[in-house]
Amino acid sequence: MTVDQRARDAAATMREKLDAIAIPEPAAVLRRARHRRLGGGALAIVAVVAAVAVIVGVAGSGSVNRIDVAGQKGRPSPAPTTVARVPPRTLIPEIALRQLQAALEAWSTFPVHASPRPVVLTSDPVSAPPGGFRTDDSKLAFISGAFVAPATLPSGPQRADGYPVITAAQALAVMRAEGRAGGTVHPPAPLMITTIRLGASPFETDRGTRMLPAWLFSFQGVEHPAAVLAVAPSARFSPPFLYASSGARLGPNGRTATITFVGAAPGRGPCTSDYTVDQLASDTAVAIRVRETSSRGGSRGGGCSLVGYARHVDIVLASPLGGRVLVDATTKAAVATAP
Amino acid sequence: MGRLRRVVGVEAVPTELTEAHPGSAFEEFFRSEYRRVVGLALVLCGRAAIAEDLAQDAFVSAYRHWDRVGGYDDPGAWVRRVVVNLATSALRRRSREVRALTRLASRREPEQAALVGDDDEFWRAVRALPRRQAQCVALRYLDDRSTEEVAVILGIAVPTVRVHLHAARTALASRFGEQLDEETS
Repeated sequence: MTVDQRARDAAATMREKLDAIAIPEPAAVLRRARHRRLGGGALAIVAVVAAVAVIVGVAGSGSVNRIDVAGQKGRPSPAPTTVARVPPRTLIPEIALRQLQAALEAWSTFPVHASPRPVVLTSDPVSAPPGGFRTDDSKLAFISGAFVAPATLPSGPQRADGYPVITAAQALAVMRAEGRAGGTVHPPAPLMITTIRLGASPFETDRGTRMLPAWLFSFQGVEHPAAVLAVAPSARFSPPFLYASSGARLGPNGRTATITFVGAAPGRGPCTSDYTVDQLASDTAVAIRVRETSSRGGSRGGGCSLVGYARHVDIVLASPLGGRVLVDATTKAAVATAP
Repeated sequence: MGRLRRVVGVEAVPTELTEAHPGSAFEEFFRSEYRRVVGLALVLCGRAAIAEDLAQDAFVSAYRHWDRVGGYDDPGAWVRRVVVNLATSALRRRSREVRALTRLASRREPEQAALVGDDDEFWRAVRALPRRQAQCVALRYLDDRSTEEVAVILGIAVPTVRVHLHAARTALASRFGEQLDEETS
């Protein structure tokens, strides 16, 4: 056998194995990545991406519409201390307008006046043990939903922290179902659940990271417990839109916000861009959409790297956000806001 | 007024959704390329437990830049370059895996369990090659890319790809005690 032949055989065998892999839902993959949006992980990826740009072509030029919406210019500036007047007339490109409208439509049934306000989760209801696993087998068992549970599961209260809560058995079912979401299972030895208790754990929501009631599952040979959100589905509101491409910091009066996102470099030089944020509001949501208003290409006609820069645009809402959801119109997902 | 439409005020009543989900082109791309990209990650990093993480990270990067990447002739080349770089980083930094674990939460596709233990001897030998050689072999054979395409994906010159492939074949022939049957391309 020649090397070439051996390589082709190995490739064919590998391709057969790959054909057995279940292809995950793209939206679910994006959702899992969401909370790392501007974290170290994301920036590391952006750094890798930086090396990539020149490959397949010159970065396309963006929209050339020079239109300001509600006076929100994409220049670094301190958060306004007074609420600016919202200009009564606004020009929004047709495609942006349609996306904004679709996003509002998707959230039109949000129970904005419910008390407590429903939890709008922007990450998964199950958190893997922080600190990870000691062995590949433990990890694979966890992500396959393969668990051995105690004969009796603890019963919890009806409510915790003001929310109706699910039982430990329901939480276990959630953890198992999430693991099996992919399809056929070839699990290694299942993970032994040692203790189950009701506690609290941080979850990503549209109002930032919040400590919420959670069932905590400890496993044999795993240092920290996994957490399953215990807030009952009746007190959550989670349309299937995942991964907002921007974040937001709300001003103290709820009427101003700083929209954060990853974009091209700021400034006037080569490979810089200006951005504005379009917005549209309803009784239940405020949809926003970052739009590139102008971009400058590389020097001497060269390509631009796709290095991501943390950019922000200050916006003024027509009325305070209140209990409404801030929605990213490009994905229809809720934007995580922080004070 | 063309693409622009005048809207009075910023408060407006939502209307019917009239356009396709903006992510649909990306989803199609994801579904058609996912397995190949996982395979590339797997043969380059050798760890089934993190190959899908790397592939998914690469697709997330593509999604973040989809406005541009989606317009390329071959977005698959872009995502492959990212995953090749991520696999290199993964080999360099085991801490990468810790982050992946944290992110993994619970529901990744259990089928990856089927890949565990199938660390084929050939690919192990490929991973033992210098990094660029291994990348060239993986793209040339597993991904069935031409030397020209390999050059574009890795951002190196075509003759350089040929040199790497030749060196890789020589090393593999020696490793497996086989004759060197050089490709002509």
